[in-house]
Amino acid sequence: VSSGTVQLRIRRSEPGYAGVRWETFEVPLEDRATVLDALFFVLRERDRSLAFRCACRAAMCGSCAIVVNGSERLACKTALAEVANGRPVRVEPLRNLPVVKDLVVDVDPLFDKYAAIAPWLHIDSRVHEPAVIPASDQRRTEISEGLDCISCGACYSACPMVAADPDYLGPMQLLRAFNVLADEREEPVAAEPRLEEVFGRHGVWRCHGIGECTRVCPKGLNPALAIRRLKQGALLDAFS
Amino acid sequence: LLVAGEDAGGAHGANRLGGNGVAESTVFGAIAGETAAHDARELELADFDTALAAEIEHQALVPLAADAVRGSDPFAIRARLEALMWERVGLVRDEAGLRSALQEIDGLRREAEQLAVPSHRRLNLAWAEALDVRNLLEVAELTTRSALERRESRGAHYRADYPDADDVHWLANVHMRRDEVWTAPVRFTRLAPPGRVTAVPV
Repeated sequence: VSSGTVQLRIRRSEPGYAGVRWETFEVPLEDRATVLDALFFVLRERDRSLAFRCACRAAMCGSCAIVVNGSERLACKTALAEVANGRPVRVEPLRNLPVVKDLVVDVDPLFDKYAAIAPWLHIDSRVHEPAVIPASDQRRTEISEGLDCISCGACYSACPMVAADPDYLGPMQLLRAFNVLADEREEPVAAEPRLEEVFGRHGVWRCHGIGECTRVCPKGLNPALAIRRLKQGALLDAFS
Repeated sequence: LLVAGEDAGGAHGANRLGGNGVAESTVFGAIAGETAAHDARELELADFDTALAAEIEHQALVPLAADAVRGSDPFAIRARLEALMWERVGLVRDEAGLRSALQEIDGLRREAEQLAVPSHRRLNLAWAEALDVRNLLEVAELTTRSALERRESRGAHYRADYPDADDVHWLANVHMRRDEVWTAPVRFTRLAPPGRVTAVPV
């Protein structure tokens, strides 16, 4: 390996068309280069059949989440130099989702479960003010902590409980569920079907507080804490 | 045809040629969405020319069947087009630069007739790039031709050979069709520049 380059090891496959193989490419380690830049280098200069996903390239859209050296990262936000460390950089598709081709996974299961918790606010028809919780309020702070989610699926990929129970809703979904349930503009009746999902058999109680979701979140959010708050709220309700 | 976002353009006047499309995505997004919902309910499907559709499909598929060794690389053409647009159709423009840019775009377009990509279709990024490159060449030519047409400087359009704004001749929008360029006066609605121009009531 000459100086100024990095070995990039890519896990490639296309179910139904090509089996799993690891391919290694030598990519330039340019100043401020990201893992996404390295993937584009491979696509443009080495192998035009490589498949990966990206859109905004600014850590806003969540399209480019992949597994780098065993941890979920956004390819566009991850500095190549930071993950290189003198050894080959290993990139793989997200876990817990079916691979379509190379680094691209089918995100339908992710968003089907998101839809299952009805991730929007059902504003109570009796509420006439657009905002009823003061910005400085503790409840508002707890909600705000989860609003930056970009639905990249990193937490869902990292979660061992999703791996153990494929029907488990998942951290991204439960974080969103906390946000809408904690909002007091929410209409109680409209929340019923969501409560069944969130506190049902494949809901919050599946979480064992392992915390991989929080560790890998590229936006620094804490889904594990949101899930704990949902459990806490349910217990307080049960014993009140 | 319904558009929203940066494609809708215009919300910031001459100030921005693109980018920061928040107003365009919210305002025109709402208009486009409401219109699409209405049209989907009310309009009959229009007839289309099946022979033309087959030809468009054929053109889209051509790069998949092309000889990868002798064919041209969509990523390389895009990189050259981007460099060209930055150099000669970018911040400072003049007639000589714009005319030579048009010639080079034409050359790139001829190279793009020979685009070649891997033949397997699923998630084929090179194929997507090839289709994008054709559209980019189209837009590059439209941008360059309209910049050539506007012989003044206004907003983010700066012509070194016409450095001042010319309100006498150029309170106008440039319109284009293939091989056809014309101008039409700006229709002022809520605001108009000071002087003899009056706003048209909305």
